[in-house]
Amino acid sequence: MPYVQLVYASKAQPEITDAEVLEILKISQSKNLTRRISGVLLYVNSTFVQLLEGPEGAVTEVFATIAADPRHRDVTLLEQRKTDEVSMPTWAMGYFSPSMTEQQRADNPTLLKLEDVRLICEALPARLGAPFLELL
Amino acid sequence: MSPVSLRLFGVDAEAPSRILLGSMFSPTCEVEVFASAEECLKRMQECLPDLLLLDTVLPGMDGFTFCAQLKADPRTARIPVIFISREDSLESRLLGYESGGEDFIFKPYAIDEVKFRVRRVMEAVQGAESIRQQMADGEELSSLLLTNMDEYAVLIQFMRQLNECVTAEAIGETVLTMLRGFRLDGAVQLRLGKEELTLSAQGRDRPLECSVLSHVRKLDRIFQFRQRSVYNFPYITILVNDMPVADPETCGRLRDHLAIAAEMADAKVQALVLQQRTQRAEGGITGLLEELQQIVLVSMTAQETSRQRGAEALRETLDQLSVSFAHLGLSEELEGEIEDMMRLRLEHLISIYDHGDDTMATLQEIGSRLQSILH
Repeated sequence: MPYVQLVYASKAQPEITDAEVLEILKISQSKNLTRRISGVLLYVNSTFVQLLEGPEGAVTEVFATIAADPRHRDVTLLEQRKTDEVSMPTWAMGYFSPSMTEQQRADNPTLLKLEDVRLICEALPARLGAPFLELL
Repeated sequence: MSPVSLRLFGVDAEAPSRILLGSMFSPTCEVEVFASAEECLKRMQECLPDLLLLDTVLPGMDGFTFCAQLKADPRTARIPVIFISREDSLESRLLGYESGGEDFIFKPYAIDEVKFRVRRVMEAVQGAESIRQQMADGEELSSLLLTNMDEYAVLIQFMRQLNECVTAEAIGETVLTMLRGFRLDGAVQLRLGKEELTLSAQGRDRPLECSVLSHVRKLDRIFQFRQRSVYNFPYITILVNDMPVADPETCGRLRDHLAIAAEMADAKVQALVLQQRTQRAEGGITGLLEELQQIVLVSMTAQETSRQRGAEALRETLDQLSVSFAHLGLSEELEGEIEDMMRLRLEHLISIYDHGDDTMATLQEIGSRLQSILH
């Protein structure tokens, strides 16, 4: 089984602004694709839930970086498994904030609509999708 | 074609992929997604898309077979197909190329990249349509001309046409005409420094064709892969898709002809590259000479201005001196001594201007020589 799938949850530091979160996510998207890591990230009410999937070494390394990042707190590993096939064709994110404008969403094609995130999470293997659906 | 009117079909076995395809294109396109080739085919009985995004691994019919089937049907042959695959290998690219696909995207992909590729393929398809029309016009005439030509006649005709080529496009078209003369289908890639040009009967710079040729150019000088043969030279690569492998004798003969033709075309492209470099160098030298000519003209004007101002200053000095003598009441002997001294100084200054005349003559000569070189 050449791949690993990992789901974690964490809380964002309270002082982080929406703009900062979006910038962090934009940078991580580019880094993840370079390492051939796909997945989906959900950010609702200062809570992150993220699926990371790809080559084991790369995924473990990214998760270790996130766990050590002071902008995340209460990082909890919810699910980890080895697999022959990953579930996502890219690295996408669902980001929902009361202050987010339609323009911000239009400017960032990686941002998904709520209904699309729900459909994607329902299509994931049950144990991977459950933490996302719980948050939604 | 307005992006709003684009109808896009996506076929992907993975549900998250289908949802994402819908999500990324639904704001600007009419998107429909399917979990299998069979589902998509059923829908195509009712309506056809402008472009198809196609996963290679599907339940039932695989993506390559589906694409080949679409390309074999005149009703669907012109629908551009972009493969989306998890397997990044030369073999999968060749399978995609062989089945007639336009481009290949590998998972995990960046959403921006998928959007960019879709836009680029649509532009390439529109360009190919125009080339196809031109070729259709010439096809009847060329088939008549080539019917009675034997292989050597094709080769001689190729050499004659190659000799008349003055652009990379013309060389590429001449190679494609030769392939048609040999009843072969293929593509040619010409490399002119940083620029590349890939041509085939299907169009110009088709992404998947470029990708395949970029891979095969790293292979041996002459390379045979099933029905395909490749002829690699520094400035050109010719890819033939349908060598008559069932007839080894003809196949061997054609390979020899194609190797000769590729070598000649390579020399022609090399000559073109050198010619372009020489032209660029000549352009640079001409520019430099023109600048130099301008500098000489400016210097001559400055010299003349300086001379005129100097002469005026001398005249003013002498006039002031005469006026001063009248007021000073000097003896005639003293005035004579002062005038002698001034004369000596003026003679010295005049000799400086004489030297200035030499400089002016030199500048004029340089200016004339530059004029004759430049015109």
